[in-house]
Amino acid sequence: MTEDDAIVYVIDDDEAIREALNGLLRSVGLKMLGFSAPREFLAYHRADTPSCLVLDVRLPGASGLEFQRELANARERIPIIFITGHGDIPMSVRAMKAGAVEFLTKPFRDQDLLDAIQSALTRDRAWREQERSLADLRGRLDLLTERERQVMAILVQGQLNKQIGAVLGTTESTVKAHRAQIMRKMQATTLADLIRMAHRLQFGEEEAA
Amino acid sequence: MPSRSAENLELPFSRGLPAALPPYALALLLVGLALAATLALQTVFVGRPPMFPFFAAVAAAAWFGGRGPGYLASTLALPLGLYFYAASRPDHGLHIRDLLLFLFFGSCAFVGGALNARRQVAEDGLRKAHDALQIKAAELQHSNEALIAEMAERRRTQESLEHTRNELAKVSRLTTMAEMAASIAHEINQPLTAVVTNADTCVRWLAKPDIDEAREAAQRVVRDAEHAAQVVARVRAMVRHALAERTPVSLPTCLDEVLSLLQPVLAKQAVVLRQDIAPDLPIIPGDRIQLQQVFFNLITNALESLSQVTDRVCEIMISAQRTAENTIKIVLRDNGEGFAEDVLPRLFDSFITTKPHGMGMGLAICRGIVEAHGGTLVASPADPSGAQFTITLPTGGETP
Repeated sequence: MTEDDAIVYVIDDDEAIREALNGLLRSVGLKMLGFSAPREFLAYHRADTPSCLVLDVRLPGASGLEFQRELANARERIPIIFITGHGDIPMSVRAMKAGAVEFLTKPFRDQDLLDAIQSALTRDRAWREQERSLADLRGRLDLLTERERQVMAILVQGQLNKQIGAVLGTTESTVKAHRAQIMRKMQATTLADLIRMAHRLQFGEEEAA
Repeated sequence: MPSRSAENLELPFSRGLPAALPPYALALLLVGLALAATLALQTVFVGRPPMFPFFAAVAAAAWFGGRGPGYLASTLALPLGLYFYAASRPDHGLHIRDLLLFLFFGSCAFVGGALNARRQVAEDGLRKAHDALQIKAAELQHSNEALIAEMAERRRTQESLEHTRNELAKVSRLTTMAEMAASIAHEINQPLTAVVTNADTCVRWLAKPDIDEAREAAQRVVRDAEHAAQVVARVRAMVRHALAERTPVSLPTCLDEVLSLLQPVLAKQAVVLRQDIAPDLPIIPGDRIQLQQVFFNLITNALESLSQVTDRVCEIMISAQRTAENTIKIVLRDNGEGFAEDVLPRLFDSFITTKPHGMGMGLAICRGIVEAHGGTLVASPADPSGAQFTITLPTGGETP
């Protein structure tokens, strides 16, 4: 079921429920870590692996919904599945609008929870993949010299080598050499490829600004 | 106001036309009339002219005008009368006897008139006093009406206040109950969730099969189910504990307090209350408030049922007797709508109600309280219509 070491975090003040969920997730080969309060969860240093959070709405101290907002404000991005004993529609609408994956009413069926966890982990994997490739691209961008960055900024706007040379006050052959370096360092095969990378890095905008 | 009082006033000798003239002019006019009458009658009573027109003029002037005009009329009438009298005598002389007689009658007329004038003044005063009294009476009546209106207003305010207070009590009772129910529901739902999840897990392990893991999950099912049962037991114990407060309770006093509380409703619905409370009821150990709750609920139910009745006199009968076997038997009966046969077996179940807005908790609570006191609560149809509730309570000695 799992090709990576995904972790399901559970925050519920009821130990019996944490234990039951731990048993269920172990039966499908998922690793689970339980916390009795949001405070404990925040204090824990999470591993950099795909993960999701199963959150009880009714918690000691702040409610689960408040904690969801807190996490969002702190830019802690983790998919959340709410479980609640007394959910009402406005509550679930609020949770879903704030980006929750699922809103389950206790007692829930195992398959409903497992499906929700799967989709949450899939979402987190996609986020992580995106994050990783973006970080990778940033690393490549960092390899460029100052001159090469200047050339690239004009290049991704669709200008020809000759025009770039005129703008920067160099010869067309120098620009051509820079351009080859840029394509190599950015691992771009075509100009379209490079433009797409620049777009993802918001490179053009930042240079223009 | 005064004009209305004057109309109401019917006094004899009230001033009519003469009042329109100044009193002295009236005196002159009367003397003039007397003179004219004497002259006119002179031809009829030859030899002895009548003196009565002058006496009448003096009397009338004093009568209507008071003392001053009386004097004036006397002063004028005396010489005139004497003149006519003397003129009628053959010797044109005055006999001292006749003069004295004349003066006597004149004085009598004057005094009579003056006295009458006095009486008029007194009557005037009386009339004024009467008027003032009438005004005062009208004012008093007015303030009395205002007072009655104020009292009615006050009663209405009181009623609305009472209504509000009752509503508030009902709402707060429901809120407390709802909160308690929500809390209990949560307490039970938590272990129930664990049970469901563990059972699902158990099934998953059995399918693999991994008997050890399955057994572990099954053991968790048992443990969590026991936990849920403990919650239920705790709630039961809590209810029992709430009933554990036992003090000596006088049932008649207990009933009286409830009835006085419900008195406005009884009066409003014109319900005839018949009581047959034995004077020698023993004091029993119990929770006064809880027992009052029972009476209150049962009587309120009866009143609600009676509110539908229009074709007969509404009655509630309450009797309390000491029975042989150390118990008190209390019977509450009404001649209201009663209950359908099919409801009877489930009457005391929670959430069974025949009321449009009822919770169906009242009778369940009543039976719970009575049973916690070691007693019984039984319902039966009353004859020919209505409901009868019979409560038996032990008189103490044995513990419930």
